[in-house]
Amino acid sequence: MTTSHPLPGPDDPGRLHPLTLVAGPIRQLGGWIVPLIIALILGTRSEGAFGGFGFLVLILAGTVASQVIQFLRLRWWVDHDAFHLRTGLLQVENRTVPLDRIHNVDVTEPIFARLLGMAEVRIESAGSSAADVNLRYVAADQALTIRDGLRGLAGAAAPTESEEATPEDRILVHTPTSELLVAGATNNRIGALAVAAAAVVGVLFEAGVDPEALFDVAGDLVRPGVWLVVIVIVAAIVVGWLVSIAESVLRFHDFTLTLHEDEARRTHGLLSRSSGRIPLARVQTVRVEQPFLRRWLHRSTIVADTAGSVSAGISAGTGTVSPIEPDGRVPELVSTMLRRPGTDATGLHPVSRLAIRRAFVRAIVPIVLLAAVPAILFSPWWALVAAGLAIPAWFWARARWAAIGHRLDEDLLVVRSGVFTRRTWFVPTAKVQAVGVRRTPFQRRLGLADLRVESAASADGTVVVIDLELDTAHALAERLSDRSSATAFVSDGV
Amino acid sequence: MDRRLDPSIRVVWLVSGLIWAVVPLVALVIGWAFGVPGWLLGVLGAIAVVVGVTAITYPLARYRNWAWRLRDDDLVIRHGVVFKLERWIPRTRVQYVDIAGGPIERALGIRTLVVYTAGSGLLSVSIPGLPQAEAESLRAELLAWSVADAPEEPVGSTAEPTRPPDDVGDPW
Repeated sequence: MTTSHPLPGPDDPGRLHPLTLVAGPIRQLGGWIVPLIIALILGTRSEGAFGGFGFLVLILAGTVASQVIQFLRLRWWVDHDAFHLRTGLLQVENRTVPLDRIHNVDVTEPIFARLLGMAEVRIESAGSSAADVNLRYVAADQALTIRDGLRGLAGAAAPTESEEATPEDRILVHTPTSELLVAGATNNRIGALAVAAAAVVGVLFEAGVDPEALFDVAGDLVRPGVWLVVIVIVAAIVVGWLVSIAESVLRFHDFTLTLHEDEARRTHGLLSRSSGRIPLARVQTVRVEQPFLRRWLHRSTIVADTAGSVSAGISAGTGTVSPIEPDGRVPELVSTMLRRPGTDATGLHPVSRLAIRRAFVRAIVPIVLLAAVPAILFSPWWALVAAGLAIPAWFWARARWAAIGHRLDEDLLVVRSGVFTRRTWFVPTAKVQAVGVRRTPFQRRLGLADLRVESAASADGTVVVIDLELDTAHALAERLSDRSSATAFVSDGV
Repeated sequence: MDRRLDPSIRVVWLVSGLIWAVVPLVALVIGWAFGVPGWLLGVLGAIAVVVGVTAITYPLARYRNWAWRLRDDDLVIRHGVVFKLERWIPRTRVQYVDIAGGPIERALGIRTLVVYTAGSGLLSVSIPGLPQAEAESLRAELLAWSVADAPEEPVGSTAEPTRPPDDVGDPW
């Protein structure tokens, strides 16, 4: 590695290629560019469409103007330890990416850029599934110089992967079709509707109203056409349930998860065969989900959230480890995915009992508000409905509290929560990116706080423990930050 | 010891807040020009007053509740008036850093520092109201840790920024 490099330094920063002014608007307007130009041409001939014509001109002018500003203002340069980018006119931004944090540099050539002799450079840091720096566009040969120069400085190496199955491959999961039928039948989408219907009937029963008499009364008051609608709705629910079962079977047919060296490979699907890879090093969190019907049947779904990598062609996302698994096998599978033997969800600590009060208040307020309207307009008996709903609301609040649990080991955080769908997260402290403690005004009065643990997983990357006592939340945050900072985060390693 | 933001950040927040106050004012003027009934004008006026007062007092409350500290192993910030938020970012998790400034901020000599951790660039933490020199020095400190460094070694802090810290009496 030479100490000097052909890349622009701070004294002579690089800029974008002038033809970006042509390629940029094309990219931004995308497919709209052709109809836009046609509309403009037609607009100049017709007088009635002047308003629309003016609007289109504004759009095009605005796009071109932003490109002009970008072209005139963007500067980039490389010094001895970082890549720098400066953009913006009113809002000026300076981005500094240390060279040793650069994970990969890619050069791509969208067709219109390529026709004009330009290319796009994308610089990506560890764990990103989108580029952190985009140079749109520079001259094609300069793009290659940047890529090779930065790769040399950063010392990034492309990961190598072997494709052949070796005798040491181990089948982790193979889901029989009968289990998939159970999976489809216990999907929460349908279950929630059934529970809601049962809850309403139950509440009326509790309030002393006989459901049978209610139907008779309703039948007298209401035209037969309504019953047809009711039958149709019920039939739709049943059909929806059957479709859910069929969908599970088709999608996860013959689900097989195989461990090949340090990668879990899965295949599944009946009509179209899907496959995916989960490199174990990329796993950020493992999540065990139990819709409540599945919980009664002692089964769970296991899912792994991974960080992405543009270069390796892996998007950040959620990979199914097992669509449906008996509870007994869950700890072993989670341990395998985390490469941490003996991982389980025992010994979880509860949160403050004040959480029950908070959840109850949050549930009862909308009920009271909703009951207040008909109580005022129609009859005060609606207040009885609100009172009746208060009992299940309290039970729900208590169930919600009882479901929350947490445990912080030396290298692993386990969090469980959820009533209708119970979720358990397993987050290695080495994968923790940042930690937060959040308090709403109500929580502040009760001395409670939410702990928010952020990982490099995709959309679901934040794991939340709600309604901890404030001191506990602070203590956990400090310990997590401490343990997380003790390890280096390298998305392909650790 | 907590570090505070530069007081001139309140001006930035005030200006952006007042822009919101313009909306009910404009509605009020239009309503008056079109001869809208008096009680409606009163309501609009009341809204304008409430928004205006909030726009002036909220930045002050926001400023009082903003604090940050760079420790040996992590960066800690806390802010929020109604919803209080505290965040810890381990220094070994910092991927890259932005220093940004809008026109008003740059006129006042302050910047916003944005710290990015791993994960699609969405995990970021912003510290507004930093004098430019302080922003650059904080950036240098945050990026001083490199992958090659042994993780167990604590990253030493360099020269303290020039502004004297305020003691807010927090048990940090």
